[in-house]
Amino acid sequence: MTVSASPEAPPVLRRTALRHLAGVDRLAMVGAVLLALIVLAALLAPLIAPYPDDGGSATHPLDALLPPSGAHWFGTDQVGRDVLSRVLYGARTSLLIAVAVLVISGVVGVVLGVVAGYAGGWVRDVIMRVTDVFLAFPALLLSLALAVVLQPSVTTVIVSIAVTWWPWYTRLTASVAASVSTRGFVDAARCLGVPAPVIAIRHVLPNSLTPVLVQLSLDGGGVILTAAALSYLGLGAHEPTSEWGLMVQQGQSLFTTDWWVVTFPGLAILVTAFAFNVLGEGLRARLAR
Amino acid sequence: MIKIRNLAVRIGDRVIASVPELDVTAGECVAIVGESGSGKTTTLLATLGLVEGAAVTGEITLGGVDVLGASPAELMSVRGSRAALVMQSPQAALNPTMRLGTLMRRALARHGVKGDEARRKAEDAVAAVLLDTAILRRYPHQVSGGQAQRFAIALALALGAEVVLADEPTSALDVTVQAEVVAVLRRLRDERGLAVLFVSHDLALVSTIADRVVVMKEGAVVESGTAADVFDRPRDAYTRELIAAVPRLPERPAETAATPPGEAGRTGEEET
Amino acid sequence: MLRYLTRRLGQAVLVVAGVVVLTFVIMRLVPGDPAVAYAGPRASPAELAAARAQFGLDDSLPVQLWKYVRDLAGGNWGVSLHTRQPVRDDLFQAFPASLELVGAALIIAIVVGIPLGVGAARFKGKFPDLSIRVSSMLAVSIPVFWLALALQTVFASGLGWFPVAGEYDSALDKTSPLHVYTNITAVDALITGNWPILLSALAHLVLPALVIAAYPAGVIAQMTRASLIEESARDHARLERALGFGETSVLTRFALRPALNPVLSLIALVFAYSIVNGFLVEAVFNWPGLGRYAADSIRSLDTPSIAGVTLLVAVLYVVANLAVDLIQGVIDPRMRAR
Repeated sequence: MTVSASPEAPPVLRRTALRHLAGVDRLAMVGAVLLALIVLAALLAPLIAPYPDDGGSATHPLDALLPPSGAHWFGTDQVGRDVLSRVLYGARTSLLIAVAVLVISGVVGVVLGVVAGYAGGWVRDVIMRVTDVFLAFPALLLSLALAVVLQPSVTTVIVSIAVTWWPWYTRLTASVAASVSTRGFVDAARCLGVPAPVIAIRHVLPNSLTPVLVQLSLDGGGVILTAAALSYLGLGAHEPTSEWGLMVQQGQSLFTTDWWVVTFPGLAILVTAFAFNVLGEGLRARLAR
Repeated sequence: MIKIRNLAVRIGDRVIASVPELDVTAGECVAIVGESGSGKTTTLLATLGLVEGAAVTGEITLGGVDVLGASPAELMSVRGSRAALVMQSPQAALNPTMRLGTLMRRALARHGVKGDEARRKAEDAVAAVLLDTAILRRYPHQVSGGQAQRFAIALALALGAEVVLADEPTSALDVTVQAEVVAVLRRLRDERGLAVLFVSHDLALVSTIADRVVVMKEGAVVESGTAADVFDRPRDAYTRELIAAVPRLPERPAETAATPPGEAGRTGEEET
Repeated sequence: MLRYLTRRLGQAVLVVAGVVVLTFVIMRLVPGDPAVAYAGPRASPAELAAARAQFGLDDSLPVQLWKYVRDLAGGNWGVSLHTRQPVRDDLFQAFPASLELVGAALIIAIVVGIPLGVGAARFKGKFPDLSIRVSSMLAVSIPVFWLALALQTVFASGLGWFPVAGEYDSALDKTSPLHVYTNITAVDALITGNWPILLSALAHLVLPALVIAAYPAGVIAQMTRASLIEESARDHARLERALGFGETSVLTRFALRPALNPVLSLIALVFAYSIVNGFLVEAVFNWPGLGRYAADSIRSLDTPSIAGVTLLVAVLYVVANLAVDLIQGVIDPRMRAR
C-alpha cells in the first residue's frame, strides 16, 4: 500500500484556485492587450502620429495651447506641438528606457545570481552582502543620486536605474540556483565530471529563468514610473525629446488653465505602468501554481 | 450521530468520493481506510459541510441536523458544539499566533459559554485528555505533537461535542505518541460514549480502535463491515492487498498500539 | 532571541558601512570641482587651494574615504554648499517635516489598505474583490508627481477646499505662536494645545499625505489580500471553521494576525520608498521637508547635502527593517524562539 502523509484535500482546493486563477488571467489579459497596443503605438509612432514632426523640435507658436479638438485630439502644448503626437513618441522613449534597464539589470543580476547560487561559500557571501548594500537604498533615491552626478540624458536615466535594479534579480536567481543545484540531476552531472561552468549554464541557468522573467515583467511598471520621476525632476530626457515625465514638468504651471498639456502624458504613464503591473501579477500568480 | 446515505462529491464530472451508506452511533468508532486520493478525507469534510469547490449530493445527518439542507448559520452552530475535527498535522492545525487557552476561550464563547463556566469547562476537558492546565498558556510551537492532538480532542470535549472526526490524527506522530492519542480517543469513546469517525491509511493502528471499518479506493467504498469481518475475512481483493501490506509484528498483548490486524479484529469484537 | 538580535544587528551595521562607501563613491563621480562650486567662479587660486584643502580634495581616495567615515562618526556631515550650514543641522531642520508627511500618509495607507485587503479576501473572485484589485493596481501605477499636481489643481486651486501649498498658515505665527519641541508641526501644535495651528497644519497635510498614501495603500491592500487568502487555506483555518466560526470570523479574528507578518515587512519597505516619493510631492506642495532640500541641493550640485540626504534615508531604511524584524517577534511567537 502506498503510505503517503499528504492529505487528500488538494483536488478540492485546486478547483477554487483554478477559478481564482481564471480571474487573474482575465485581468492579466487586459494588461497584455494594453501593453501590446502601447508597443505598437511606439513602433508605429512616425506612421500614426497626426503630426510626426511635433514629436521633435517643431514649433507652431500660432497654435500654442489649443484645447482638444478634431484637429488635435489631445490639444497642443505651449509651443503649439500636437500633444497626441508627443504622447505617441513618448511611448518610444519610455519603452526604450524600460527595455534597456530590464535587459541590463536582468543580465547582470542573473549572471551574478547564478555565480552566487552555484558557487556558494564566500563568493556567495560577498555577492549577497553587496546586494544588501544596494537594496538598502530605496530604488528612486539611489537612481536620483546617480542621475544628479551624471549629465541629464536618457542614457543617464537608463544607467542610474539599472544600477539600482540588478540586485533584485541577483537575489532571486541565487535562491533559485541554490535550490536547483542541490537537485539530483545537477549532482549526477557533477559526478559525470561535467565542468562547473557548464553545469551552471546548462542546468542551473534555465531553471532560474522563469521566475526572473516574471519578475522582469512585474518590474516594468516600476522602471517606467522611476524614469518618469527622474525626467520630471529634470534629470533625464530633455528638449526636444518627447518624454512623458518631462511633458508633465514643462506643463505643470499650466494645469489650471490648460489641463490637457499635463493630463494626457500623466495618463500615458499611468496606463503603461498599470499594464505592466497587471500582466506581471497575472504571470506571478500562474507561476505560483 | 452520523448518518450518510448516497453521498457523492463531484468536481465537474469526476466523482472524488462516493459513499452509499455510513453510520456512526454513540460510543462507536468507525474507521475509513484507504490510500491518499481514495476520498476518505473528502468524506470526513463533507460530514462537516466543509468541502469547498465541489458539488455534494445525497443525505448527511450530523447530530440530528441535515448538513446539506441546513442554513449556513445552523451549520456553523452544529460545528464545534456537536461535532469536532482533529486534523493530521498537530501544529499546523493550531493558529501559530494564539495561545491554546485563547483558542479554547474563543471557541467556547462562540457557542455561548463564557466566564467561570468557560474556564471550568476548559480545565476539565484538558484534564480529561491527561494534559496539565499549564498547556493553556502555551503557543502551538511550545507543545509537542501528541500534546497538540490531545488538546484538539480537549477542544471537542469542552464544547460538548458528541462526535469527533479525526483526519489521520496520528500519522505525523511517533509510534509511542500515536498509542497515547489513540488510547485517549478509545477511553473517551468507552467512558463518555463519544462517536468517532477515524480516517487513516494505517491499518495496524485502525485495528486497535475501530469497531467497524470502511475501505475506500479511488473515491468508492470497496468494502465495509465490522473490524473483525474486514480484517479476518476480507471479501475484496484490494482489502486483502492492504492487509497483506501491513508488516507482521511478533505477537503482543492486544492493548498495545502495534497489534497485528488479526488480533485486533478479535479485540474489536470483544469491545462491541 | 538574543542571538537572533545580535546577528540582525551585525548585518545592519555591515549594510550601513556599505551604504557609506557607496555614497562616497557616487559623490566622487560628480563632474566639476566641488571647490570651485564652493569658492565661486571668481575665486583666486589661493582661495581655491584653501577650499580644496578644506574639503580634503588633495588627499588620495582611500584617505578621503577614511576622513569621510571619521567625520561622519564624529557627527560632522560636511557643510552644505548652498545653505552654507552644516548638513547635519539642515537635515535636522528638514527631516521632521518629511516624517510628519510620510507618517500621516502611512497611517492613511494602513487604515485604508488593510480593510480593503480583508474585504477583497473575504469576497475572493467576486465583484468587490475585482474592484479592489483593479483600484489597488491603479494606485501603485499612478505617477505621484502627476497625482499631486492633479489633486492640487482640482481640490486646492480649483475648488478651494484645501490650501495650495506649505506646512501651515504662517500668518498664525503672529496670533498664536508655536512652541517648537519635536519640529513636527502637527505634533507640537497638539501637545501645546495650539488649535489654530493644528487645524491649519492638518488642512495642509491632507492633499500631500493622500498623494503619498496611494502607493503604500495599494501594495498593503494587495499584500493583505494575498497573505490572508494563503493563511485562510491553512489547516488551522479549517479547524477554526470546524469549531463553528464563520468565514468573516476566521479571516479577521484568526487568520489576520499571522497574515499581517509579511504586511509588516512591506510597511518598512514602503516607508523609505514613501520618503523618496515624498521628495516629488514636497516639490509640488512646497513642503519644507527633505524633498525640497534635496531638490535645492540637486539644482546647485551640492554634493555634501545630497550625500547627507542619501545617507540619512538609507540608514532610516535599514533601521526600519530592523524595527520590523523586532515587531514581528512580538506578533509571531515563533520568531522569538529563533
